[in-house]
Amino acid sequence: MNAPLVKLEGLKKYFPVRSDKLFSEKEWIKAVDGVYLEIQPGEVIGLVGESGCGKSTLVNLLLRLEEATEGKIWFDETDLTHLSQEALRKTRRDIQMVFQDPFWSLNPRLLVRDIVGEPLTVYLKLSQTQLVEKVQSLLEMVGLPRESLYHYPHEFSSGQRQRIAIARALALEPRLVVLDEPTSAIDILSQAQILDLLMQIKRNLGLTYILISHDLSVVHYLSDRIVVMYLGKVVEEGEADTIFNSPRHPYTQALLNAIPDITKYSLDDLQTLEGSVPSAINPPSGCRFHTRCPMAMEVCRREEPVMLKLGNSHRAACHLLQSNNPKAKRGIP
Amino acid sequence: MNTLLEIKNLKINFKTFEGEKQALDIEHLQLGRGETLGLVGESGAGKTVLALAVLGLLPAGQSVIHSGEIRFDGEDLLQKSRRELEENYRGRRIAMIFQDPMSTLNPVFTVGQQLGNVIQRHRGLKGADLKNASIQTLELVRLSDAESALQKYPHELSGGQRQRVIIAIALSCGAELLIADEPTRNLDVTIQAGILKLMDELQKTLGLSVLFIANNMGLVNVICKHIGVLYRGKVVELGPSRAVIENHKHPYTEALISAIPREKSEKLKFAAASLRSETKRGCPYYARCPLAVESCLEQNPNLIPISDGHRAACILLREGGGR
Repeated sequence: MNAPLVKLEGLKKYFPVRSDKLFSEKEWIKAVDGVYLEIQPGEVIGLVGESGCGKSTLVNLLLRLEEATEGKIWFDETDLTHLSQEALRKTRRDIQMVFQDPFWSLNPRLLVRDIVGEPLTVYLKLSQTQLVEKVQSLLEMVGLPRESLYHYPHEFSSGQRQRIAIARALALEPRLVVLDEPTSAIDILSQAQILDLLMQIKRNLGLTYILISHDLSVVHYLSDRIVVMYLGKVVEEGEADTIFNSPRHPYTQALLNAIPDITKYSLDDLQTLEGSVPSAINPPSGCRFHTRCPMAMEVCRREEPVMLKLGNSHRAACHLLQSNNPKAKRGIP
Repeated sequence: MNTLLEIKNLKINFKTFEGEKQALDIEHLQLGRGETLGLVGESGAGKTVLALAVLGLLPAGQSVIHSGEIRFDGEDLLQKSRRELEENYRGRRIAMIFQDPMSTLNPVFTVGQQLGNVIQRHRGLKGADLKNASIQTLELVRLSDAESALQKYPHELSGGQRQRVIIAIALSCGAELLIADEPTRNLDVTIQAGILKLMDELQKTLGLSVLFIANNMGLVNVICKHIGVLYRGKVVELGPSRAVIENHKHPYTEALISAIPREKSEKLKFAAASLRSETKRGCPYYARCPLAVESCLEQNPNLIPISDGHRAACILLREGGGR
């Protein structure tokens, strides 16, 4: 196996809670609480979980838009957490991001040429003609006509805008692209085209993607591996097909059973999870999911489950999966 | 069938700098009492325009209603005065849940004030009665601890809770028709499932008629018995959910369904943005249709019956559904 492109080691991010009391004990929001993860080059990793589970914080840490509280982020064998500003600037070329909403992520006052060309002017010394040529070839790659150069973002549909955002992310030939809900603001037909485009680009350029999405069908379509997070921790991780066909953690099962799709004609086919994600300030004791878990046991309240290896690359953290647990032998329903 | 809402020959245009543009052209659409109809289509298909037309909320200066009727319980809403609409229909007998639960509620008023306002206006309650009615409505939508929720501001609630409050406000005055415009957009799947279940339960217990607007096929079928597919302001396919999904006849419905990503290995089939140049004549889907033939340009097809209640507007179809 190759060396991983990204390796997270016990990554933590605690945000302080502002308190009115002067001498009260300081409280922390544990947004990301000890994440271990390896991403191989050329892989597409899908990050999944409800709002507030720490997906976005995790990505912000990786881009060093936030400073980690503890832990290490290895990117191609350099530790990003301790890089100087100058070294960080160089590394950032390799990690790019496509944001959720192409209505907010593109500056309405800039021409497409300047939007896509901006990263190029920041990092490279190109002549005007070279720049225009480069931007043109990027636009072509994402399937936009060459004339788009001298238009403003508002002249494009949401799908086309997302293509502009993708072109900008690809301008510096990054190795890792973070896709934060890349199609949630887009219609279903344009979504299909964007997904297809992303796959095509990935194959041609040998990119690595981290995909965040709450649309699990999109995640299934794009991802090689899926990482399920709950309250700042990874609860299950594995090949996309394994996760979709035989999820082992009750939370993953609940997430998957909550998706409506065209094969379901009754709400009885959908499972709902009671309550919402508990506060990350004082996360529940033991297993963090026990307050909402339909299969919670006594031990779940007391002890935190450890990550168990279930298959080749399939891991999950749940007491039900312990081999000395009688329910585990019968298989989880 | 006891019809609650019936739309006939409705033509609405929008004024633009380049003259009038057609926004809606609906031959016939009806919704019975206690029935659920899902409207599906891309943004710009006219789903929201339809909803606003029913509520009489289309911007007067920019839209022109050329012809047609919107009959609600037998009365033509287009003939009603503004005042009549406001007092007897909008918010009272016809309620709407707008998109985006984040921006529908006013951030500077408490839940109690916003809900109370509506109940006071339409049901004329005051004081303790008003408070009791408010609490009852919040309990109806299963908001935990309704009494303390009244004191809260929208930002103190989660997305799912906010959407419950919005549903409560919509249903507080005994509406018969509920129009829901993508009520679960941007909610987590787990929360979405909860909201869908709540809507289904309320629909059944209160005998509501629901017009459910969505841009995703995979969502309406779990909650609606019937689906209508809109393209450029026109209903191109209409029928029982199962028939529309499993036995769809219109090429546009086909495109919508095959665009839903499923297995990883499966290549996504998607409709090209346009295959031919746009025309003003004939079928509105002509420019993007993979099956289009010359004769598609001759006329704008009407809905052709295929089987019981299932109809599609495509000239390639003969009665009975063969292509």
